[in-house]
Amino acid sequence: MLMATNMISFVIIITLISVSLCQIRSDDLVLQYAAVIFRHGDRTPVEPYPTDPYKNESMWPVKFGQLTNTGKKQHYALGKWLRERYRHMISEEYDPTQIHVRSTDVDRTLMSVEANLAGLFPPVGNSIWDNQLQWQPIPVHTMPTNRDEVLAMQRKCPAYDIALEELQESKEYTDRLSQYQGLMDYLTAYTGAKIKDYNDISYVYNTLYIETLYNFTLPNWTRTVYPDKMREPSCYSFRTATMTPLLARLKVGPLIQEIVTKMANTTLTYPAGYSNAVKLSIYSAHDITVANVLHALGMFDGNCPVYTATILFELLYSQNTAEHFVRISYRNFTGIAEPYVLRIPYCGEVCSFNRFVTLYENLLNINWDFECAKKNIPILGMSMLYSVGILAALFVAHKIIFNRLPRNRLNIMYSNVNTDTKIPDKITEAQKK
Amino acid sequence: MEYDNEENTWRRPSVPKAGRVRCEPIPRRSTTVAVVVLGLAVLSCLLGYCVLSETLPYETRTLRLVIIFFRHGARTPTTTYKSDPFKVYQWPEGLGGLTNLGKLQLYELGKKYRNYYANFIDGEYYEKDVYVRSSDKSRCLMSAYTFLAGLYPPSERQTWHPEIPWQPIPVHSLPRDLDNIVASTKACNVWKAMYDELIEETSSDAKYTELYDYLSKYTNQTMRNVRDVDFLYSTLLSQQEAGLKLPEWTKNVFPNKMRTPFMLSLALLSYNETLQRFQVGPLFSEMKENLEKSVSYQPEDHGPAPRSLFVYSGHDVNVVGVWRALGYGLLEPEYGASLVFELHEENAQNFFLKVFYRNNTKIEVPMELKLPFCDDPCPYSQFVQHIDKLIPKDWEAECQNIAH
Repeated sequence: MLMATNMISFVIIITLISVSLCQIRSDDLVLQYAAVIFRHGDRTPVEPYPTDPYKNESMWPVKFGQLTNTGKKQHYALGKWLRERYRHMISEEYDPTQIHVRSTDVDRTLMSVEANLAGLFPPVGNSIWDNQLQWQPIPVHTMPTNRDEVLAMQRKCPAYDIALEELQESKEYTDRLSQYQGLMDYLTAYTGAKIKDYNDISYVYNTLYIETLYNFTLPNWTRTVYPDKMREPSCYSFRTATMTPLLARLKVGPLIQEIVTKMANTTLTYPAGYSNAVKLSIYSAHDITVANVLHALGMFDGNCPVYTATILFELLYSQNTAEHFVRISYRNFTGIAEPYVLRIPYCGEVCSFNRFVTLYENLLNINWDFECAKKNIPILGMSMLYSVGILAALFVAHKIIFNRLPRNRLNIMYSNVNTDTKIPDKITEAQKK
Repeated sequence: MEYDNEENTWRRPSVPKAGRVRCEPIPRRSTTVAVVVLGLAVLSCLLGYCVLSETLPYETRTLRLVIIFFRHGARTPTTTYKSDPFKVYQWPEGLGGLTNLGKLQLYELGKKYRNYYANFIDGEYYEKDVYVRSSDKSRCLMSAYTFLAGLYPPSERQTWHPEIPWQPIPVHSLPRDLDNIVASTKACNVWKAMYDELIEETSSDAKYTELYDYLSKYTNQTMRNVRDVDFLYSTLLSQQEAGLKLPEWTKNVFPNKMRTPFMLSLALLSYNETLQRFQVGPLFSEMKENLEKSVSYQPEDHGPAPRSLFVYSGHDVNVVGVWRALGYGLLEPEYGASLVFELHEENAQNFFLKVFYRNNTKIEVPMELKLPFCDDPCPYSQFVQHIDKLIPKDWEAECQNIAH
């Protein structure tokens, strides 16, 4: 009883502190750069299971794995929401120097981001090019899946494959998986597919989920397992790709490195004067991409990312202290609502940029080509050297800039700062659909 | 081929009317005969109607595959020169950006192709039918999007937003340093060495010495080969199109005297067969693969039909590259210039190709190309034989790119 009271008062104190900290800061924080990573919108199943009563493609509005009209609407709405959120950071007219858009080379992600951009950049002023059409073209860059280690995270990496195999053969992993042996045997018997890992469960779960969305009656055998028994192992599948520090580093390192490099560029150029640095990076990808990033950062809450699930990396600048901060928010709902600000482990909701860089050294100091080619550990020494080099450079650059920093020169206000301090751990069932 | 120019559209000749089928007058002999003959006549009229109404115009009936390669739309200058009075001009789209006119041009082109191929290209977009590839340059990606906006306005069923008659369609691309298919910007050692040599040769060409000197003098920078002339020409052209008043000195040389060296510069990238292997070979390889898929497709097997439309969005030099690889000479492709390859099947398994060119997006009647290496019409096998000669087995190795 006493302990419980203690706990409660502790939580209250912590909440009060964080609320007050946030409020003090949020008046003063100016948004300078944002990287947005999202999942595509509503789609049809990628591949139904062999005994699926709904495996006939003609029963679906579009071909398998394609974006539906619902998905287009979802992303259009998200684009409009992003326009509101970043109204003060990016210009209303499309300015190619401010935005960089990248997508995986998959139809549904390419189409999702196009619909998103239609919402984010409705033509105004000089960019109106056709009186009938409230839309303008915005370039979306992509790269073939097997060449893309940054966003698709699918380029061949032998070191990664070896490490993943090691993980999957480890006793811990197989022991945990064996809890689900009964479930997997059951699924194997009824789906006609070989179900032998979390990913396989997830694939069936996902198909069943989409079928319920489209009001198909699920076969009777699913009643005992779907959704409850399948949910946990399905969502657990999103952890495996980044389960160990090495896996996380090789999988997510290049993307985090790219984002933090853009942040670093902004911290170096911004306060000193007008900046040509990109202000908004948009990454259109998949549920696994979103989960990989969150899990690698130690922020994955165990729920499967829904359609249009979005991570927002934001670089904030405090005019009072002339410091840069990182804030990471996440929305895991398909409807439009304010995202939750995630707590960055060992740093809090608004984390000093320098500290952020130190905390995620393991992801940031990657030399991907080099490390993937090597089969294992001797490169650790090299990478340590490499990382110390990068950190030193960032640190020095920072000092130089801050020393000659004019105070209070930016008056761009950021209107949508989320002062709501819900703790992400509490996001559980409510947001799941 | 005739076009319905009154409506200002590109519709193919309309379907022959059933009324054209003549029913012979019936001789009066006996009622039975009359009834029989009349009945037969009516039947034959009906039959004729049924047959003819299902018969599409010749071209569409035989069409199996369409490959379109176009240049992006109007853009702002990509470069400037030393004495440029508009050096600091604030182009709203930035340097090398697609202008609103450019967006419209490709939108119009998309609409034209929609009408032109109304009986061939499905009114609704399906990814199984069409594949779109673009250079990674923003102006090409954007051109591809507006082209598709014109080509595939959403049908009622595909409308996803009541006020936006547009739907997202995937456009695939390769980063510039990997792209040897559309923009041909991927590094290739052998190509580079040969191209540099050719460029160097033009600098000692006596024909142009006077022009080089004149341009060097007035631009206040060295102009000593056709590529220098090319960049200047493009810059002057986009400035002029944007309504800027060009300096007086340009009147003596622009556009006339500069045009030939400009076209030569575009041509040099794919000047001879060796250069074409590197510049156009990978594209031809992809084309050949898709032609083969269409030719070998058997509808009786009930497999999925191969894609019937491929769209490529590239640059002037790429259009010139394909043009030259087809055996032609110099060309100045305007914005939105497009080459179209049509695969036809007449009777069973008798395949041939038709190639068309439109030098800009306004052209109503495309120019049909008589391929110098081929009979007319050009049989599929003969066409493939020609492009095969330009397809390297191993591009990377032939380029002698050092493996890293």
